[in-house]
Amino acid sequence: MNEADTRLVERLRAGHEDAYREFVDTYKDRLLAVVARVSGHSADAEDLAQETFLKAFGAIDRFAGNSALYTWLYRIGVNTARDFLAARRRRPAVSLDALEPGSFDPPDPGQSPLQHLERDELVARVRGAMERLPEPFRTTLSLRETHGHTYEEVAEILEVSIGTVESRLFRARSKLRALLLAEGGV
Amino acid sequence: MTSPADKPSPAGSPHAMDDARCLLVLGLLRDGRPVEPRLAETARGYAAARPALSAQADELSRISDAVAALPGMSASAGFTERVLAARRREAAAPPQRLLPLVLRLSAAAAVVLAVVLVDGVRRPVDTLADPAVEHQSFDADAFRTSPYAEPDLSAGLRALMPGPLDVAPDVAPDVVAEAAAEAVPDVASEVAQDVAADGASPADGAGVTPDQDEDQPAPLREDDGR
Repeated sequence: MNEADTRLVERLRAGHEDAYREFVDTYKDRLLAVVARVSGHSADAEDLAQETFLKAFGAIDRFAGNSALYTWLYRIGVNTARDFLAARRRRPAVSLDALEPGSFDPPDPGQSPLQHLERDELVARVRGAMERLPEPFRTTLSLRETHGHTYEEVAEILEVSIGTVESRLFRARSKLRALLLAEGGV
Repeated sequence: MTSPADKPSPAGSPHAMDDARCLLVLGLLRDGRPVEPRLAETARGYAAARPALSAQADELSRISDAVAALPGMSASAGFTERVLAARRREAAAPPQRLLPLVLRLSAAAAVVLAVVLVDGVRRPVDTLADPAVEHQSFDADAFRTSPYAEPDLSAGLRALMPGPLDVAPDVAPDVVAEAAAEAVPDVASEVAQDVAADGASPADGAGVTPDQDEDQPAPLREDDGR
């Protein structure tokens, strides 16, 4: 845990209102994306993120500081979203297409317009295929690729071994490729 | 920690290669994971010799890029305030940690009570007395003066006990006379005569003791001084 997080945790434990605000402002967007990917319900993502923050506030005294603060927060978020998913397993999922485009990668200046088009089209198809991936694969792939976490961080957030992360990533990509091929190619 | 890439391939050798293992190793290399140099070299050589596999590895790479390019999310404008307000509400509310536990225990007790009641109503046979006690109760009925009175055991037993001279009808007459002679010597002959005269059952007079016949004075005895 870095110095800034250490200070933030101390202020959270002391109950400073501005510390709560800083904590939420710092992590809300990334946490929102994580719980939306895990749950597959973007419409409920803000409620899940709020629930995650409240759980984190209540458990801040038990945060041991062995991992980064955001790793700990995302772990709570993943578990909260999984609980939500289990409770609503029989209900139809809301499409992740409803996600607001907020941070599309900027076009690579080295790519031609046709390549941009192809990539944007692939991104749109991948977004649909991601919904059909089983949750553990979707979550692992999303944490690694969309959120850019290292294998070690993903393992820590999901509380699995690095070998499991490697295996899940390989299988997630393979399953995603199979889904895209079934729709007409990659 | 064992990586899937470190596990022996189906061929048995740690560096033997198949398509899946090759793609796994290439994926790890793409993500910058540490892979044993000899294993990495084997995987690259394996893929280079198989164009279809190389194309598949490229597809997986493009898919990873596309996943990385998926849009992020932005919280709505009032999100932070909403979370902080919810935190304040939680902090102000009284602790309710015990409430769910109490509710669960109450529900469990209600279920147990309902089961006991339903079971008791459903099986009235269980409420009867033990058969042995019931039998004793019937035996005692003979000592009741009415069906609702307590059994009077003393009076009942007294009624059942035979008198001192009560004998059974099948006792021989000479035995009765002998017994009478022993009990009341002065009336022995009289009794013996009665028995001999009418051949009646000895029980007819045997139940009468000398004291009971108060109207007739007892005969004088030789030694009574009269």
